[in-house]
Amino acid sequence: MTTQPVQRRISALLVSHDGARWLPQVLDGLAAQTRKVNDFVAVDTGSTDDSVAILRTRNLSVVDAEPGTAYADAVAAGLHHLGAGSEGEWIWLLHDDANPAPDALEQLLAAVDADPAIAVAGPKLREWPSLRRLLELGVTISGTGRRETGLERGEYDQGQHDRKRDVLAVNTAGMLVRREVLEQLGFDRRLPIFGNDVDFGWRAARAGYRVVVVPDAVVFHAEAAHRGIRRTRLTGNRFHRVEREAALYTLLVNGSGRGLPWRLLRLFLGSLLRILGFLLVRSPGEAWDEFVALAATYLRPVRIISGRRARKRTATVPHSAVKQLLAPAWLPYRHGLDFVSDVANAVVHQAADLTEARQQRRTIETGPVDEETESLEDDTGLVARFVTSPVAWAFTLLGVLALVAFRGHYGSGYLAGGALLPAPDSAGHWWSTLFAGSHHFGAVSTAPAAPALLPLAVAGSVLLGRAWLVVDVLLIFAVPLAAWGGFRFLRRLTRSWRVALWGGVAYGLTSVLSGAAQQGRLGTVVAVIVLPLLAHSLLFALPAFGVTPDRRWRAAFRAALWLALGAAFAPLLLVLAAVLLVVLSAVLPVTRPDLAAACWRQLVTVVVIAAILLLPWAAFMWWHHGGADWLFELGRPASDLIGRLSALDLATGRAGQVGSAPVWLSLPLVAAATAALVRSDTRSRVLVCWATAVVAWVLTAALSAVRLVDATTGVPERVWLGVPLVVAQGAAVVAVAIAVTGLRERLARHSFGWRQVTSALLTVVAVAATVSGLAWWAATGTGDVVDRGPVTAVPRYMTEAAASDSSQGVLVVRGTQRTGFTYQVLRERGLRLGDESVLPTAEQQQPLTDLVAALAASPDGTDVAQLGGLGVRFVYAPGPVDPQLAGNLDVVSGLDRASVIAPGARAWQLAADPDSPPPTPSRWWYSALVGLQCFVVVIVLVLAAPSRRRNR
Amino acid sequence: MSGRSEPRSRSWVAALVLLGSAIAAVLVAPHPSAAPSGPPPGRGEPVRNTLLACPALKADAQGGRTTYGVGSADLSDVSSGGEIRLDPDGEAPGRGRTVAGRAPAEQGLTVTAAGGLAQGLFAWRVDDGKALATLRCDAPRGSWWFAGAGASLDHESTLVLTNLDAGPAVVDVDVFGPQGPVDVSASGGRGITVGPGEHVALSMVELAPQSDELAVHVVASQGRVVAAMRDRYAGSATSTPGDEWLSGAAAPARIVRLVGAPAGGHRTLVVANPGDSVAPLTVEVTGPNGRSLATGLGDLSVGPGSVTTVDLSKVLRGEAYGVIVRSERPVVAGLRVLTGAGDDVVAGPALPLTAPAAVPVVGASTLQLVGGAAPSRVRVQMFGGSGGQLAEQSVELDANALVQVPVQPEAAYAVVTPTQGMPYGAVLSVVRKRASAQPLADLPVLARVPGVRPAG
Repeated sequence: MTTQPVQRRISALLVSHDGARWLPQVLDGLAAQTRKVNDFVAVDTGSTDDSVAILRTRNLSVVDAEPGTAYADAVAAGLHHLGAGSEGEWIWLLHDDANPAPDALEQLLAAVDADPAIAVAGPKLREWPSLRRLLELGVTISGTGRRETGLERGEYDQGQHDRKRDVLAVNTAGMLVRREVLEQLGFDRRLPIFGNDVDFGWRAARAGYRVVVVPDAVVFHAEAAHRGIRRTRLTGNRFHRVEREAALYTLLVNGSGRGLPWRLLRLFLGSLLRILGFLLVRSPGEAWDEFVALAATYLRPVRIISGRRARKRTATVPHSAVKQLLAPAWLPYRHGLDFVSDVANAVVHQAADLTEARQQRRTIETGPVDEETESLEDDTGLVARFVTSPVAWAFTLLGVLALVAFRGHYGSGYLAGGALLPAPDSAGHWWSTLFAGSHHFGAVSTAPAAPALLPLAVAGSVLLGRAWLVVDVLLIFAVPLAAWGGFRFLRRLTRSWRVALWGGVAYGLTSVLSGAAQQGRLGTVVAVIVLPLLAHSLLFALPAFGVTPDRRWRAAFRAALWLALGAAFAPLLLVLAAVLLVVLSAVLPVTRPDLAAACWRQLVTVVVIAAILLLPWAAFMWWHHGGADWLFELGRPASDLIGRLSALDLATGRAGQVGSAPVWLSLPLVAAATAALVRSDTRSRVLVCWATAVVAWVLTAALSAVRLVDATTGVPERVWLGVPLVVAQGAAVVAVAIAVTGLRERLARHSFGWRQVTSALLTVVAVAATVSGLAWWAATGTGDVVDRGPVTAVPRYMTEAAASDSSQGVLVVRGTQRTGFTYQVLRERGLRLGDESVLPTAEQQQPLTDLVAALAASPDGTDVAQLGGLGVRFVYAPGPVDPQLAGNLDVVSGLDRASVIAPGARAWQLAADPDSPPPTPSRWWYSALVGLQCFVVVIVLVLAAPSRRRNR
Repeated sequence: MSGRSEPRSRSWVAALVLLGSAIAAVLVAPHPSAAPSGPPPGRGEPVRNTLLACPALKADAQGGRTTYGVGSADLSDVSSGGEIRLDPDGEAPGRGRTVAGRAPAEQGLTVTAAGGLAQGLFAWRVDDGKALATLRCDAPRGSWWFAGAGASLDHESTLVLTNLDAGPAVVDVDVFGPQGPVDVSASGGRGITVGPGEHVALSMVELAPQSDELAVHVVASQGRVVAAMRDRYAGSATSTPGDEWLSGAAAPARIVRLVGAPAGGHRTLVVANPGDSVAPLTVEVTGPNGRSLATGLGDLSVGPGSVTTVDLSKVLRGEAYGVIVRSERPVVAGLRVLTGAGDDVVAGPALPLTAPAAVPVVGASTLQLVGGAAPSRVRVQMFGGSGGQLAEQSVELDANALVQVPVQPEAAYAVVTPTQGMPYGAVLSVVRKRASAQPLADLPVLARVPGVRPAG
């Protein structure tokens, strides 16, 4: 025991609540103090465990407080029990989970002796039970309300912060405070448990007292309430809410009055940002807490005002004197950066998990790996990995091939032709089409925009508004993108990277072999790219791949997103998925009841969520265009390009006559897939592939007879069946890849015979067919149906007039008397990709159709006047113009010739200004629905995103 | 799904079942060819307005008289009411009647009809001088093709353009000669403006001098016109020239049917190919027994953008036969017959009849009717000038067989109605051995409204 220079009275005040776990040690620690306390009182706030008993068995005085008593009241009750204070009395505040080191009190006292201005001293808090990690050496608060300790998380105490210094506040666990200061300032009763230390310290500082931290005094703190180990009535399950509410309150009541408006705004916006952040990392509970805390603080301004008044009464020094004790202004931004990197880490971590799982799987299932794969996995530099990886070389080559195959279509202008319409000038066009409730094309259309416009608009915005680039990238790199996805998927199913690479390339080629890319079938092209990603996600919804339920659910949501993305471009994909689900629900419970029980929820979720993601289009389309749109892809039907398909065409996935590859290029694949059924040990998985292919082919067979009326033209069209045919081809590729894996080892066990010869032959032929397919693709290119060129050359002055005034539309008429006429009303240069989905139906356009017929037959002045009533100012006929139509329009009264540049084309202009067209109905609620739709997409994205690690 | 725990045979069965269903699905799938995705077919609607123009062209110095006539054919299934107006003002015929009278040749005649009387309206011009020339007055349109024009001393043609509309018409003329297209841009063949209600006469000699055989394309770059080609042809430098109005075609065609040639005389087939590549030709003759390929003509072809003449005198053996010109490329053609009397007749292109046709009776008129590709039947009715049917007969036509039906001289006009097949024909008028021919053409009864649909 050291000598005491000044004999002081020290009263220890311990507030306990359900702390029986720690309390005995805490009391032991108190008893072992080198400087004994003169008085002790414990305040128990309604513990339900043995806390009170423990206290009483040690003959300590206990004050029983009501459950839910605020910390401030508990302390006040303790002080009351201690009786009137003597001069120079100090109160040592303790928590039931804070165990002081034996010399803690002595060191604290030594520190406060140094300066009479010191009113509050706090110890160094170390983590309990680790005892070595630093928790706090004084705390302060940042501008966003974050409690700042200035320490890294989990920092070990090596004396690196041991400097006695002034701080804004110290934790109440182990706080030594002058009794008169405690009684003068008191704890704020509005801060029930968290944050009262910061608030108290702040007020003490404003009252002119010094608050110091004494590193030589050590208290071990379990932070039970803060970590949510202990639930009190004050926090409930919502410690985050209480903590946040306290932080907001502390900042608002203690901050300077001048900065208050700015602080109010900043905290409000910051909280909204945090809510968004919590949602993005799938922490809806924390987001809700954040919201409630915000609302509770901002909706009760009286608390703030009275709190500020109370602080004004005790303040003696200006705000500027306290400022250096607050956290620096840049700190929140560093934390923001940390948060972002945390999320990135979580994503990387997930990828690392996968790699780990893959490696484990490989070692378990296949034993030694090939040299090449080993080098791939080596943790060498990125460049070295790339250069030494044959797969990287293969995909680079594929990318170059794609660029070569697209030769002749580079330059200025927009890709269009076949089923493809030119991309709009900017992604903004897609956004506005997507959100607009009604569209004015001669007749007013309230048709919903194709759901593909959402991903297109997002992609276009990411590419800085360059909508054409989205279409270009998809069409040019369709094969490498699909091949990459296929490779990635097959790597899960086969241990041989060579087989996976072959399969990926063979699958990727289907987008050109089928003729989809050549005919501008953007829907099928996207579906081909998305399919392997969808299949990959579906794998992880199965118990064999998705180890934890959390991972399987995330995989299911990811699969739903992929399915929705594919179906947005080619709705037939969702139809196919639904049919597959029905078939699966009939077959799976019989063949694999265990699997059915394990994953039926996920599988149903995939289809249902995907369907929900396609709302509101999926629902409103029935009203406007009829259900047939479910079977048409994005773009024009262009059924004249489909031609007559033979049985061989269907078997080899040739969806259209124009542009598709010769049948023999894919026959070896089909033959190999058939042969794959022979191998017995892989047959069960090959059968799954075949079942998928059969369902796809049956759907093809059912739909190939159908002629669906295209609602916007009234013309019965054949359905482009690229999607099911590509699915069948993909299933064949997977079947072959599964059956080929490990074939050599298996056959080595048999004596040489037909097995070896046949399989070798089929393997060679299948590889040769894929190589020939690549050669064919590189040699023939992408064909000439889709080409780059200017958008329909309606004279610019007309579109400019139309753009400025919706009543000045341009009626474009094509055709001849003999073959008939087609027309469209434009308000921009040509129809753009996506516009076709919002065209009015043929019935809605009937008045205009009749009018055009009258113009072509024998018009009179009233017809022209009616034209004006429909919002048409110009009539444009691209050359060669039907002479009778041209003559009719030349002589009819009310129309004047207008200038054109294009040779052979004719244009006319209404002599009188057209009447303003009928007002388009306001359908704000539709835009709101689309906004809701985007919100749902974000939610599903969050559900599919990797979980954030909770490490507090 | 799994064969692991199941006997091997069961997975074999599953494999075979799946393979079988795959083959079945692929084979069972119907393989329809693409539907025509064009606009819906057009429909006919009763004609509500008819506009006809007879060209104004001063007859030659040889004198002679010019007669204009207007008729309203007596048709069943037509609307009643309506009115006919003539410009210059004159007596308008009622339903089933004709009105004809002499008028100054340079005056021209415009006939407008509205309402029910717009259906079945026809008008004509007859120039009866040293030669006979008849013309069916036509409705304005944007494109006219004439074969058999000329621009030389013995063969000169005059193009008459009439604009009936309220705004000006701008016309370009393309001329094709034996050596290929003739550049007429320097001689005023481009951008010819025809004011509202004006007639413009253009001498082909001025446009394309020194060309014996020409084909002419009149195309309106703005508005529409009625074009007529008056052709004056002399067999030799000393003989009196014959006059004829050439029949205009709307467009070149791969099959051109020429009918209306009288018996005897010297026959010359004029074929023009406006395309860019050589057009090989075959010539068929249609007589009372059907058609036969004309032999002994060698390999016939027309160079790009040029005009060729073929002497058919021997092939037709002096009979009043028709000619069918077939080519792989669209051509325009005419058959010129220089009769023994010194007049010339040009048998122009006739289109298959889809509606009744009406012809005025000028002198001794003979209908030459030819069956289409299938046996056809027509009803021939003859009417007096003040109404009333004088005679009616039904004529059976074998496929491609030509039948001559004389028209009663007391009739004012005859109506030929196709009742079966797609027959075509012409009327040959002879006045004092001078002859003129006009192909039969559909009367305005139903206007074809083209099919229209929104573009997808």
